[in-house]
Amino acid sequence: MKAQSLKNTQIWTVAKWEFLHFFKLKQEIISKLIMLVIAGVIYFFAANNQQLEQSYTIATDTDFTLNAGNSQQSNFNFIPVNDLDDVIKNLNETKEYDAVIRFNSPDGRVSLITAEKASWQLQLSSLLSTELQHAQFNKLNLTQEQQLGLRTQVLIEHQVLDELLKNQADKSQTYTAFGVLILLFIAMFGVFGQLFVSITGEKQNRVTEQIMATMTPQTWIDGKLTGQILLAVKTMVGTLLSIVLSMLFFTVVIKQQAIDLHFVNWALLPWFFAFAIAGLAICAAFMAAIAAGIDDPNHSSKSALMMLPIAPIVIAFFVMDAPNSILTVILSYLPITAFAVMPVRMSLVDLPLWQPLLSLVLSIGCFYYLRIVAARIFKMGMNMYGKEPSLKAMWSAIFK
Amino acid sequence: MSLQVQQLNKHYHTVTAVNNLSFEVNQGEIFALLGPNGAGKSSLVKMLVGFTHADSGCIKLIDGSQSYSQIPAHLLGYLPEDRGLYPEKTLKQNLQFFASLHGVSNNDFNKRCEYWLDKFSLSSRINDPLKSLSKGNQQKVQLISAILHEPKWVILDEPFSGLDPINQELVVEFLAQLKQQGMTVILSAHQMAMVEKLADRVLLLNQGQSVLYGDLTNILTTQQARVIKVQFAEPLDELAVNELKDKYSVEQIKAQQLQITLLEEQSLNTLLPSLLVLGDIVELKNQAQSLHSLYLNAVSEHNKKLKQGAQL
Repeated sequence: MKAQSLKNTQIWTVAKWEFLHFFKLKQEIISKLIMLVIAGVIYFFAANNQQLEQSYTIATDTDFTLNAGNSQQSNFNFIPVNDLDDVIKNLNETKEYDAVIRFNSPDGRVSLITAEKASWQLQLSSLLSTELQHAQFNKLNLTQEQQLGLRTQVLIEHQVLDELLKNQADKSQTYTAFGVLILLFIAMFGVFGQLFVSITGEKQNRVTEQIMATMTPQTWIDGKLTGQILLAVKTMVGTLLSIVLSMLFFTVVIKQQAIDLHFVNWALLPWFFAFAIAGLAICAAFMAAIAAGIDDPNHSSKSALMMLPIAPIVIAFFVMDAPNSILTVILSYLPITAFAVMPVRMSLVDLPLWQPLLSLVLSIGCFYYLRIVAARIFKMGMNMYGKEPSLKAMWSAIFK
Repeated sequence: MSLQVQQLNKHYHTVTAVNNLSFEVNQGEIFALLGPNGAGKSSLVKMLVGFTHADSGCIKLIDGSQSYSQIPAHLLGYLPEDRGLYPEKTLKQNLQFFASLHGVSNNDFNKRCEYWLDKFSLSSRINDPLKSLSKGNQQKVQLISAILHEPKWVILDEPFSGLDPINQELVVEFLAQLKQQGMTVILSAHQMAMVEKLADRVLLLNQGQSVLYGDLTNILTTQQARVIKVQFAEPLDELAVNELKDKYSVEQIKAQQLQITLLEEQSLNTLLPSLLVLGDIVELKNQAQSLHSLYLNAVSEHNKKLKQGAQL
C-alpha cells in the first residue's frame, strides 16, 4: 500500500474508531424515544392546564357576572352567599363551591380564596382584573376612546439610518443564526467531554505508544479530529431532527395545523453550517492540544482551559446590538471567534460575499495550523509519561 | 537490509541516556538489548522507532535502495514497555483496529487472527472484552497485535515480563517462529535464560555505553576462556588471597578454591606465577559461564572502570 493511501486509510480507521467509540445506535434510539415521551408528557399536562373543560362555582358576597363578551365567562358561575365565612370553613370538605371571592373587604381589596392551587385560578384572577378595571372605567364615565387610550401601551419605533442594516423590526432574521449557535453549543460540550475522555483515557491505558509506532502523531490527531467533527455534526443533526420531529408531531399530528417555518433563513443556512463546522474543527483542535498536555485528568488544572472555545458563542450573543462596531467586525474575522460572530453579523447586516468568504477561509487556515500544533503537543506529551508538561513547555513544543 | 547505529548520543538535561553508541543489526536475526534498569535501553528503543531524536550520531536502516533515519512504521511491529490496549473493546476489535492501521485486509486479518489466537490458546475469548483477560493473556494479545501485519522488523520491550514460565516458553517459541518467517527481532529483556536460548547477537548496555557487543556464541566461548577455576591442595592464606584480589577479579568459592575472571588486558601467563605463590595447584580449568553471570561480571567491571575514571 502506498504511503499516502495508507495514511488516508489510517485517518479513516482512527476516525471510525473514535466515532463508534462514542456512538451507540441503540442508546441513540432509546434517548430519542425518552425525549419524545418526556415532550409528550409535558405537552399533555400543558394542554390540560390550558383548557377549561369543566365549570367552576364561586361563592361571592355580592351579585357579580362576567362580561358576556368574554368567551370563558360560561366556565365560571358566581353565586351570591350570605355567610361567606361558613363557605370558607367548609371549602375543604364540601365540593359545593370551588372558590370564594370577597369583593367588599374593609381595605377595599378583592380576595380570592380556594382550598387548593390550580391553573384555572390564574385565569379567573386575570378575568376578574379586566372586569373590575372595566367597571372602574365605567364608574368614571370615561368614553370608549379614553378607555382605549389608557389601555394602549406607548410604543417607540427605533429607526436606524445605516443602510447596511437589515430590517431591525424583523428579529426573526437572527433566529436561524442563533439556532445554529445553540446547536453548536450543545455539540461543543459533547466534543469537550469526548476528547477529554478519549485522549487522557488512551494515555492512562498506555495505548498511545503502540499507536504512535503505527503512524505519525499528525495522522493520529487528524483521525481523531475527523471522528470528533463527525460526532459533533451527528449531535447537531440529531438535535435538530428531534426538534423538527417534535414540532411536526405536536403541530401537525396533535394540533392539526400546518407547520410554519417562516423564521428559518434558508438562504444563509448553508453559510451558518459551514461556519459551524469550521468552528467545531478549530475548537476540537484546540481542545485536543490541551487534552494532549494532560497526564492525569484527576489532578490536572488544564481541564478548564478546554472550555475556552465556548467563549466566542457567548460573545456572539452580546455583539448583536452593535453588528457594525469595530470590535464586532474584528471578531467576525478573527478565526477563534469568527465561527460564532460572523453568522450573527450576516443575519443582521447585508454583507458583500467576500466578507464571509474571507472569514471562512481564515477559519479553515487556522484549523489547518491548529491541528499541527495539537499533534506537536501530543507528541511531546506522549514522551512524558507520569509528568505533565507545563504550559511553557507546551508553548515551546509548538515551534519545535 | 540492515540497521546501522553510529556514535549515537542522547541526553536528558544532565542525564546521559545513550553515550557514543555504535552497533549493527542484521536482517533475520534476533538481537538482544541487555542492561540494568536505567542503562539506556528504552531511550535507544524510542530513538529506533522515531519517538525521540538523537542529539548526535545517526541511525540508518538500509532497505534496498531506500534508507531511513529510524525504523519506519510500515516495516515495524512494536511492543512497548508500557503495555496497553483498549480494555473495554473485545480482543477482535483491538486486533482488527491495529491491523487496519497497517492496511491489513479483512481476509488476511481473519486468517492471521485465527492462527495466532489459536497458537496462544485464546480463540475462545475472541469476543470477550480485553479487561476480562488475565494480565498475562492481555500481554499475549498485545504481542499478537504487534506482529499481525507481518512486519520486517519487530521491537519487543520486555516481552517476558509478567508471564509465568509456561507462557515465557510460549513466547520463546513465538519469537523463534518470527525469526523463521524472516522477521528481524530486537528484544530487550532481563530474563537471561530466555535470551541465551533465542538471541543470535547481543548488546549489553550500562550507563548508556556499550559493555558487550557481538555474536552471543562467540562471547560465551571467549568469556569461558577468561574465567578460570583453580583448586589448591591446602586451604589458602587470607592475606595472600587479598593481595591477589588487588590485581584480579577473584571470588573465593571454598577455602582451597578460587574463581578468577581475567580482564581484557590480563592473561593466564601473567596470572600463573601469582597463583603458584598461593600454594600447590591440584586442578585448573576454564569455567563455563552463563549469560547471567557474564552480564553481572561485565556490568560490575564497567561500573568499576567508570568509578576509577571519575576518581582520576
